[in-house]
Formats: sequence, C-alpha cells, structure tokens
Amino acid sequence: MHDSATVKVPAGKLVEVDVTYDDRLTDVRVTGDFFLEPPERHASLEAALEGHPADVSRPTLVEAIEAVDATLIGFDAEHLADATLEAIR
Amino acid sequence: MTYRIVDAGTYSEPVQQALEGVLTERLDEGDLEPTLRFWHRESPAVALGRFQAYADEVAVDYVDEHDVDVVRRLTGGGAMYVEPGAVITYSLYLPREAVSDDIEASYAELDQWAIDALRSVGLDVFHEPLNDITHADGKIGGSAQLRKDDAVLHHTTMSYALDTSEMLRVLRIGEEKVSDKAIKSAEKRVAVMRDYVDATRAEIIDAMKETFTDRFDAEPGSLPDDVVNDARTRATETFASDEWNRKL
Repeated sequence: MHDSATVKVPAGKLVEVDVTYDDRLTDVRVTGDFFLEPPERHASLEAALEGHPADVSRPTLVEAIEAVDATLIGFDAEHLADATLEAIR
Repeated sequence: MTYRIVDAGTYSEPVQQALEGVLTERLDEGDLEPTLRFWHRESPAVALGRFQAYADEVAVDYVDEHDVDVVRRLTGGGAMYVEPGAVITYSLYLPREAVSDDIEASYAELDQWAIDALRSVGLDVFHEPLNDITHADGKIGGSAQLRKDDAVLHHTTMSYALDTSEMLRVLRIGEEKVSDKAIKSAEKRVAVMRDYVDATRAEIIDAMKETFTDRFDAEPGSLPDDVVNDARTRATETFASDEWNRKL
C-alpha cells in the first residue's frame, strides 16, 4: 500500500510523509517547507523511518528519528512520527 | 570584520542558486570576505525549498508552458515566486562565530537590520517567527539559512511589487485540489511593499545599504570572476538539471 499524510506544525512548518508499506515501512519520503541542518541528513531521516513493522509504536519512531544526527527546525521528531503514523493508519 | 556589499550582476535562477553554494563554501574555506549580496533576476522563476516536492508546489503544466524556471534551493523553507524588479532578495554570508547558535534567534537577529531599513522608508514590518518578515496585512517575505562549519548563509526574499495573481497561477496554492496546508498558506495573504510606499525598488535597496553600513563595517565590492564562473558551471551541472530540481 501507498499513502501519505501531512502535519502542519502550529506556528511552524509543514511536513509530509509519503510511505509504501505492507508488513513493513519501505520507500519513505519526507517533504515540506521545514529546515534541516545539515540538509544532507535528509536521506538519513527517511532511512530512520524505513524498515519498521506497520504496527510500530510512536515512541519507537520518535526514538529512531531522534537518533539521526541532525537538527530539525520548524518541526520535531513527534511531528514527523505523527505524520508517518497517520499515513499508515 | 568588514563586509563587502555586492549590488551588481543579473543572473538566471540556476546561477543565482549556484552562487549561494559557491559563496558559502568560499567563506567556509576562508577565501571570501563576509558579504551582503543583492540579487537581480533575469526572468520569472520559482525558488523551491530544498525539501519540497516539485509537483506539490508548482502548477507543472503552467510553468512548462510559460518557461518559468523552477530551481530547488540549497536551503529549506517554502517556495517563492519571483519576478525581475518585483522582489528584493538579499544574501548574507557570515562567519559562523558572528551568528547565534540559537537558530530561531538568529533568524530574528539577521533580518533585524533589513526590517529597520524598511521601517526607515515607512514600511511597518516586523519579524514573525520562525523566518518571516510580515506586515499587518500579510507576509512580505521569508528567510532561509544554511550552516557550514565556519560559515552561515542567510538569504531573504521580499515582495516589492509581485504580481500575486500570477503567483497563484504558478504555485499550487492557486489550485482548488490543494491540501489544507496550501489553503492555509494561501489564506495568509502576501503583502507587497509597493501597496504601502512610493519608494522605488532601487530606493529601498539604497535604504537597506545605508542601514547596513550604519550598523556594520561595510564597503562596496564585487564578486570575483572565478566565483561567477564556478557558479555558472555548477548551475549547468546541478541547478538547471531535472535531477536536482525534480528529485523530490
């Protein structure tokens, strides 16, 4: 299956997650008008969301996102986790 | 620390965006003076945020038919529609130690001189977190940053006299099918400077240079030829390519 969801951070940025999934999340794409430093970690952020089972918990996703050595600006790990979970549920 | 103020040279959007990378890297390597650069465009274009999806942000058929350059920036943030003479864009290339580590604070700090310059010509504008310059009637402009080990790029685009109905044809916020995010941003109206002041674009840029020079040690300068040549090469290889511009 393939789905997407968008989270608009209050007074912040917009984060959209596009995901292909069956048992597990594959091909995750994260787009939006957010900032990320360094920007090269964008791919790591997407990779951090891949491979989880489709019934992954929110804390697990948040932890995986926070493990990426990048500064999220205009959104945080919780917003990205929520968009991901909304896309697959 | 003496800034060079560069207010010359008209470039295509791919070259403009390529210059941002070249100039920031030069500063990071210690081969460039801190610089304030004003941009002059050749043609209408969209500067797409680094992480935005091409097809989500622009009316793809319309930009193809009307030869609007859509160029992905090195910096995050949202899509801006730009037209020659109708926007004011400036870039600051600063040593990292001159910029607050607090990113949110640094946006406010690095736009403050520009806001004060606009106020000096009678524009009642203010900083709105995280990265907007706003008039009571709507958004005038937005900023974006890129940080290297020893350099920070801070660039800001503001609307002087933008054709906002054309903007709505070019950007997907003008379409009905858009997601609620786009409707939200369309609702937040764009304000253009010329609705509030008689000053010309050149006069506003002059006021900005004056305020900047009052506040910082600065003198006029120009871009080295090899910087422009490097940017032209990089524009061809990357910023004019579908591989970069449509990768998301």
